[in-house]
Amino acid sequence: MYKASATVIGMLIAIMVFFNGTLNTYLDSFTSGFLIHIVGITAVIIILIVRQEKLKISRDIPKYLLVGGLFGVMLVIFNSYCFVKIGATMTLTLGLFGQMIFSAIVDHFGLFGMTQNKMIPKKMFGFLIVTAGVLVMTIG
Amino acid sequence: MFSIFLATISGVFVILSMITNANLAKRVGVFQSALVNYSMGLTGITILMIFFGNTQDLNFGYLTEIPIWAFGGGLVGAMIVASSNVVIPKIPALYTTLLFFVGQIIAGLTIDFFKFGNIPSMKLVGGSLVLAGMLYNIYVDQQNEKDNKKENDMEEAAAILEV
Repeated sequence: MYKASATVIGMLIAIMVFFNGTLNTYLDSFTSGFLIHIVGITAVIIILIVRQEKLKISRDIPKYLLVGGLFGVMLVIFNSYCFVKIGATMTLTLGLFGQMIFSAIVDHFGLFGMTQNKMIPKKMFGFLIVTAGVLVMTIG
Repeated sequence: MFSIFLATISGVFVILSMITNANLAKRVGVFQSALVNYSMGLTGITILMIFFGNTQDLNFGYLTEIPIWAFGGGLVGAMIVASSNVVIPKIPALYTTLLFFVGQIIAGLTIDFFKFGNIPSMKLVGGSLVLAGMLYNIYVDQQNEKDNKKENDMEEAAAILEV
């Protein structure tokens, strides 16, 4: 049941890229990114009110934890741009490919305070197949 | 070619924002982390707009020409945060990536079918290869975990025997 939900979340991610990308065909990247964030903030505030959460955000949060939102902006702008140019499937597949490679690097070297998990040499074979698949999709 | 590069790099941003958000969420919870996240994003994008100048002609008449659902991306994003919060802890991490990929590919192909009017067979072949590679690595990870567990058990047994 939860596994089906995870698949649905994957679909939601695609739908989000589709919505954002469509907005980007009407408005420039910054304006659409701006509006997307306004809608997102409103939605989260409603969730917080419904859940009656006490505000725990305070000044002693390390500043480097705040930069996540800036990555998010780049993500929205890049994804919307790519959706218009190369479509949903390729935008998402290449994004996942980048995630896979980068998370393997982060794990292998234990970057950003993550526990180090050395790459198992056998997994290079799997990565090769994935890379071949991405290449076939990109050419096709 | 440039789009291919940007799309791949956006995967790097996904991981970076996941790491920072997960750490922030440990302190303030997932939804407040999302609030900080969106607020910082909004600040960042506002600064970008000031720097590069806003070229967009924003009049109400033009905005009403845009289909209303196209504004829903931020809302869907919040739904993703909320549902991931429930689902991710319930399934093994190895499957999360795989199932997210399956969902994204199915929806992506469907969207492109309506956008471009066809689903190229190369996309299906390539997608299957990607899936096969991911499944293989999940298998390797599982075997590895089993081996580690065995090793730990052996060490424990040895420790007990020494006592």
